[in-house]
Amino acid sequence: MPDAQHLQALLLQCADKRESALAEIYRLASPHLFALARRMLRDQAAAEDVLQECFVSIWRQAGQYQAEQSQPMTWMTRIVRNRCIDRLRRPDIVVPDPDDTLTLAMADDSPGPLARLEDSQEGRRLADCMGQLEGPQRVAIAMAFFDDLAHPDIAARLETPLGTIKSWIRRGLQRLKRCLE
Amino acid sequence: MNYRHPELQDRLAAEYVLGGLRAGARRRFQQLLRDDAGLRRAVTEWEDRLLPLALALPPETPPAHVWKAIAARIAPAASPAPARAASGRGLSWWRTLSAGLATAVVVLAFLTLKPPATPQDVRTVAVLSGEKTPGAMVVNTLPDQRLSVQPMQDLVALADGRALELWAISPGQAPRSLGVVLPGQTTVLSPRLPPLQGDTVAITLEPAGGAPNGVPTGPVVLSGKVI
Repeated sequence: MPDAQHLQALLLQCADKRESALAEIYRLASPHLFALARRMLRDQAAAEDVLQECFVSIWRQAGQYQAEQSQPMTWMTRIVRNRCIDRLRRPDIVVPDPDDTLTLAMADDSPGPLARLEDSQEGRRLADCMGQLEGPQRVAIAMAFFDDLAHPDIAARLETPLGTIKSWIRRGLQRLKRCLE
Repeated sequence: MNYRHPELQDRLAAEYVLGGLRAGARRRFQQLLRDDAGLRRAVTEWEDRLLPLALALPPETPPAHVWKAIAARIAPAASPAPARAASGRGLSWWRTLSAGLATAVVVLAFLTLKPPATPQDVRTVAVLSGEKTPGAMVVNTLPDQRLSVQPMQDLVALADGRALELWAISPGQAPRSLGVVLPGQTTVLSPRLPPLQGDTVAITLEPAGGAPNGVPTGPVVLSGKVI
């Protein structure tokens, strides 16, 4: 996982229009950001487009990045995630069904996706706290996060009443917040 | 609904970051965000909490053409094409390159402060571009001071069966070879003198094994400046 201070220094250099700094950010961060775009969009070409657009945005907006407000990786993930969401929610887009392997694996207490999260410095505490949620809460949160599924779609996929899904997510998020404090 | 209520703000911010606010609700929330610093703070806090979830995915290296397209879009409008030394014109390309740079470097030497040391293991020192291949190669220094030279796209066609030799040119001096690099994978080099700030680095096409007398003989296909 890229070091936050190093990424901050590189973003400052991007604001000074040093292309080599963006090249290094790309080298460090693009595998994570590309994985997220591929997962959310379920389409290789669309993910490549989004990644390209996002790195051009990172280059242009580097001067607006404020280190005291957010971690650099969070800032870049937000750019990618929001662009994926905008694309997924266009009325003309038909998105194939998500692969549930990863999200359902979140229900297990055995090492799965959370173990990978645990390997990264920023992800360790989140992995711990996700681990303290109940399995179904984790799955519902993961389906919303990785697949951009609306609550009714999650309810349909998990064959669970909508009200239950909403409360899993709401309580799950509250517990996460308390745990991360 | 009173959007200023902190608990409601927090709940909406969490739902927004997770993606639960759809269509009209998302747009309305984004409008509120513009005018409400408290709401923006709540969103930033939830982003810091939730977005690292993305690291639960196995990293995937994007195909090389993505970086190529990005590099082309961020390149300065008038990116200088590398000089092409025709066989009859001798080796004056590096003189032209270094003459122009010499003045700039002298000025910079007075102006630039020592860059702050950053805790980092690998540092990118130069990005090399060609006429039609922006951002084609990146030169990094490793913690042990060796150089890692990484093609950002497949350069086999560019090499066209010849060796890619990497040179560093300090202003006013003859090119010094840093070594021969591979067109399709990262090469690690241990040059006696690494490229210095203000140097130009360039790739020339050479006979197999590299330029015979330590002097470039082929055309420059990629070049860039050391930062």
